[in-house]
Amino acid sequence: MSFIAASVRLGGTGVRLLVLAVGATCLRPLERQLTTGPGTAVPVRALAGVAGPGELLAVLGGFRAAVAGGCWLEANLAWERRDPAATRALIELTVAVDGRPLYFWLNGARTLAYDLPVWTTDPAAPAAVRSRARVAAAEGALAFLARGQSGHEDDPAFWIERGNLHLRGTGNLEEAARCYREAALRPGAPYYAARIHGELLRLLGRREEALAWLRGILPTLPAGDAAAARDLVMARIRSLEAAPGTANDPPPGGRRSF
Amino acid sequence: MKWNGANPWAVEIDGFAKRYPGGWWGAGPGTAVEGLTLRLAPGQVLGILGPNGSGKSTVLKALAGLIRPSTGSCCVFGHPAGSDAARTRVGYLPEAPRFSPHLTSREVLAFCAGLSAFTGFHREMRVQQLLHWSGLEEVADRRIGGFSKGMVQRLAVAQAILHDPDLVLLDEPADGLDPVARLGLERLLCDLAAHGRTIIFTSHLLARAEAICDRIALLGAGRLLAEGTPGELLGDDAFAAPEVTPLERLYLDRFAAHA
Amino acid sequence: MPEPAHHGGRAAWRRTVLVARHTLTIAFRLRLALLLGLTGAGLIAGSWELQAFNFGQVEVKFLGDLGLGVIGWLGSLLAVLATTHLFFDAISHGAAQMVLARPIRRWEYVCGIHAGIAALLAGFVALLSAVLAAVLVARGGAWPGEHLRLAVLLQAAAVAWLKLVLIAAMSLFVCSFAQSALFASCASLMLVLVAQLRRFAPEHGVGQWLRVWPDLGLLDPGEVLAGGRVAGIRWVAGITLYWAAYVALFDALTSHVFHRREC
Repeated sequence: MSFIAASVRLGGTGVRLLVLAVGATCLRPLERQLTTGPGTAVPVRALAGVAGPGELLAVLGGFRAAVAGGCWLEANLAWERRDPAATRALIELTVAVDGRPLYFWLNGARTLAYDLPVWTTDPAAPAAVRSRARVAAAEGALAFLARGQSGHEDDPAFWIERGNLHLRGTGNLEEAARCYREAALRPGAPYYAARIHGELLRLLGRREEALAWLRGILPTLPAGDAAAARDLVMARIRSLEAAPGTANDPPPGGRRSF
Repeated sequence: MKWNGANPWAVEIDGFAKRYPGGWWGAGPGTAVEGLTLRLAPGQVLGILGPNGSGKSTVLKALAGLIRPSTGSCCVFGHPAGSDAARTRVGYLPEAPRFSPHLTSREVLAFCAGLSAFTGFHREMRVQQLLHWSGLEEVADRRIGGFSKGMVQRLAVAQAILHDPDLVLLDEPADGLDPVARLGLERLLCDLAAHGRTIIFTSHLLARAEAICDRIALLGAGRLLAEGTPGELLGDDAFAAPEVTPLERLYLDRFAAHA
Repeated sequence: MPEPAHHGGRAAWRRTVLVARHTLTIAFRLRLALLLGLTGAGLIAGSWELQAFNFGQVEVKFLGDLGLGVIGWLGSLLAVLATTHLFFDAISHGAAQMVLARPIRRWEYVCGIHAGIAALLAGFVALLSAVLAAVLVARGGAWPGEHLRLAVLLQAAAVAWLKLVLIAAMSLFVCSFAQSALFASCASLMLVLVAQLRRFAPEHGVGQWLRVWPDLGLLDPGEVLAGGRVAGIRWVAGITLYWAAYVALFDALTSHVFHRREC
């Protein structure tokens, strides 16, 4: 009502604005439907405080790829200087300007998880302190990836990267196994995602489950493709079948062969 | 006379006033014309004379339907000014007209002819006639950006009479014209009047008005100061002005010798 | 003299088309249109040099994004500046008065000008899209169908045109009550910014007034390109309806304001 009263007080101009407002209100439901259009909009609020004129240009409807490329270059320069604050801010800015390429999300997450804790933690600090920093950084990188994944739900690369972060960063093998499974179930996933899931199940002591999983994926692996590593999977199946009591043991030599 | 309708007046202006309320900023409120009442019979030529800012252009704009009266009314052949019926019968030349410099005079006239419902062959014929009449035939396909002020004025007059209107409104038509063109314009006005067209023109040049006009209206500060035939207004001094002054005669002779 | 035919839908249509054609003739001869067209073509052709900034994006999509950015930015400038220039050039020098003194309705004049500018913008988008397509073909020796389908590029170009036509409608609305071309140009450019960021306008308070403007972010050709596939009929129909509704609203308001305006 205050809207209408203000319009009328403004006279002719206000009435025109009121007509516009009525039109805009009528179109609001359609607008909401269209907001989930063919692409993803730039989250402008993410730019607050770090965006310059170039980024504004990108938000305003053009040159997003080029501006994001420029931001990524800046992030790499900050990485060379080992400046954790600038590196983190510029990575965030890059994906805020253009969140479409996976490249920014995956490489940004790796930098956040593996480089930043090394720069920010004293090498002479106790191992527990360094471990805590590594876990915290990995959790931060996982949160970063989760934001990017909302626009790339069906991409296995995100699940693989999350699995890697759990495996190497947080050490949460249960979550790592889940992520690799999610990756393996998606079209276009690399063969190794399924192999790693099976291996993680074995490491978690779920021998029967690992065996069933590997038997399940075996028919899908082409014989002539080295990347499919069909022989390796068959060997693992045989080993699981042959020594069920040692399913919890690590592989010979302490190396995991995925 | 071309006009044979029931209404005896070609133009009826009754208590016309135009006041501007003023905006948020810029010019404040003002009155352009106040309480103007005028009537003009078909086929007559009315000259509205007065200094700058006296409201001459406002009267013509109101008759052309470009502005609305604040009070009073303006009618053209019995129809309210600005109505479709009125506008089909009005030809209008604004003060100091200018066309897009990127167009040619042929394009301008063809566009105006199209708006006045000329099509196909008739349109081309009419455009050609007007180009010939205005002396712009040879430069018909040249951009207007290279035209002199007089050529632009002739083109503007040509568009005003293009659709053979019953009422021709000319705002400062002699503005920017050299003596040759001015003489041509005067002859055109006389010719149009002889064919029964009603003409209203404004001017602040008084020299030739009494010879051309059937009636003269003097406006000052938006009010009608005097109105009547030249005979009524000037008495024995009417029609004293020659068609051309001695200086103009000299100019015309020399110009003719060099042409 | 032919029998005048001033009434009826056909006559109105004929007059609107005449004004549109007249506007287009002038607009195509404006140095501004030439300058922006050549600059845009040069920038798109020169985007080759900007490949150093390409990270993580398939190169053809990167070039497409740059090209559509040029079309969007320079096109917005052209839509605003050509509209305000053509409108005020006619109004302030009597050319519009000579037209409006004839039996033409104000809405026909407004729609004619808008249609003429829309045709100019169509030429602009078509030219720059052709240059962009040529750059993409020149890059690989053939159309890079693997990464960028021609239909997607055409759809993105069409969305860019819709956006520019809507910007022209907004500018025309501003022109209808503005008193100078300078004011109209500046105000229109500000409105373009507001409309581009419209989805971030607050829901309540004074800021809600910003929500009366259309959300130009919805008409982002870069987003169409980012989708990588031809948008579905539902989205196309929705966006066209949204665009047409706003264009009709702006043109109706412009005609109303202009009808009351004294020239």
